[in-house]
Amino acid sequence: MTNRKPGRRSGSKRKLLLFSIGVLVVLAAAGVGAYAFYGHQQPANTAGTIGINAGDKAPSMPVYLTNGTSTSLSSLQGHAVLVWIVATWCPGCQETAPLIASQYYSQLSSAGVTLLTVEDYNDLGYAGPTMTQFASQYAGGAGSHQGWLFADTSQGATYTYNPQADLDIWYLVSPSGTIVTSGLNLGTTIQSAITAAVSLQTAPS
Amino acid sequence: MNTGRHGRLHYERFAVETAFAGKAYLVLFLSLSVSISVLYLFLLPSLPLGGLVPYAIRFITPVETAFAITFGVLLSLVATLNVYAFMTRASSVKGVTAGSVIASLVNGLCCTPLIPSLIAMTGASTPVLYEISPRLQAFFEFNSQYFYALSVALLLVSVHYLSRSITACCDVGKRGMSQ
Repeated sequence: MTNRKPGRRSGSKRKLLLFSIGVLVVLAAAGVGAYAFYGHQQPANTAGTIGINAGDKAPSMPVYLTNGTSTSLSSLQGHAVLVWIVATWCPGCQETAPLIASQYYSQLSSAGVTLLTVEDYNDLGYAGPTMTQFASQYAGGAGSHQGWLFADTSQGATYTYNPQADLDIWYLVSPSGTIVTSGLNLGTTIQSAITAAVSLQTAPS
Repeated sequence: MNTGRHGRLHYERFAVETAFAGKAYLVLFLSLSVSISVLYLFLLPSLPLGGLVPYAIRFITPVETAFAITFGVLLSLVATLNVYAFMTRASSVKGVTAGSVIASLVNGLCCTPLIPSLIAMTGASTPVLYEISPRLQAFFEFNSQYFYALSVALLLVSVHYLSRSITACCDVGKRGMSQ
């Protein structure tokens, strides 16, 4: 009969294994911590693979503001515009709006950026809050930040700007109406947008 | 869970008591429990943002909080019992545990470009993408609690099979020694 007892392997081997596991746990925790505090800002898309290429003229986009007036993206020329296209039911967007309001809006504002938050046409076919409700629940209300606009748009513009039906996509449009850069998940890529907006402001005209 | 000839949860109780008789295993279990639970407390509300953002912890829900702690404790128990099984040459359980980790991360499938990119890679047109992608992402987001339950169930299955393996290996040894 073969009795198997715990601890049959040598004590030094066991200590080595437990020590290795401990080291791995500490390294993993350190890696996660470092990533959490320094590495979560992902680069924006500069290769132009999302919808419209960087350098292209921004296609027309009707803008139906929550205050009831209608305008268009081209009418906002003269300012850099960060167009943030969202599905209002997307939890990532619902978390990003207060993140912008509390941490990033002042930087965007000082860089002279108009933030235009646009709901995907028909909320991508899934029921979510209206844009007015989204603004009031997650961004302190549509009128609470000057230069932060909330709007709906058309199906055509949604298809053009968001061809893959992403829930959280953005474009930085220069004051002359050219796409500067774009990205997904604004909450983790906003620093890239701000950096690009600041360089637009400092670039010689 | 087992209610076999030795009473309710015999295998599990035996495995836990035997493994945690060694102080090193208890320390390993406690440190892993705290580390994994804390990681998941930050990770779960961050996943919809597409990255690990500490700020997102303020959006954690009660369901996510309960799941993060339960998952951390159970996964640590499975890991500790797996190490113990390895050291005593009992059979370890890996596949089911991997499944539980995947199920625990399912709300990362909402809001990130993973699903739209995968569908786009099939060559689907924009209208087809609009038909499928948002619904799939919404499905994973609004049913995440069921995936959490699945994840916990898979971990409990892992604990059960590991406990049986450890009991089969070590209970025989113990009884053999006492005779």
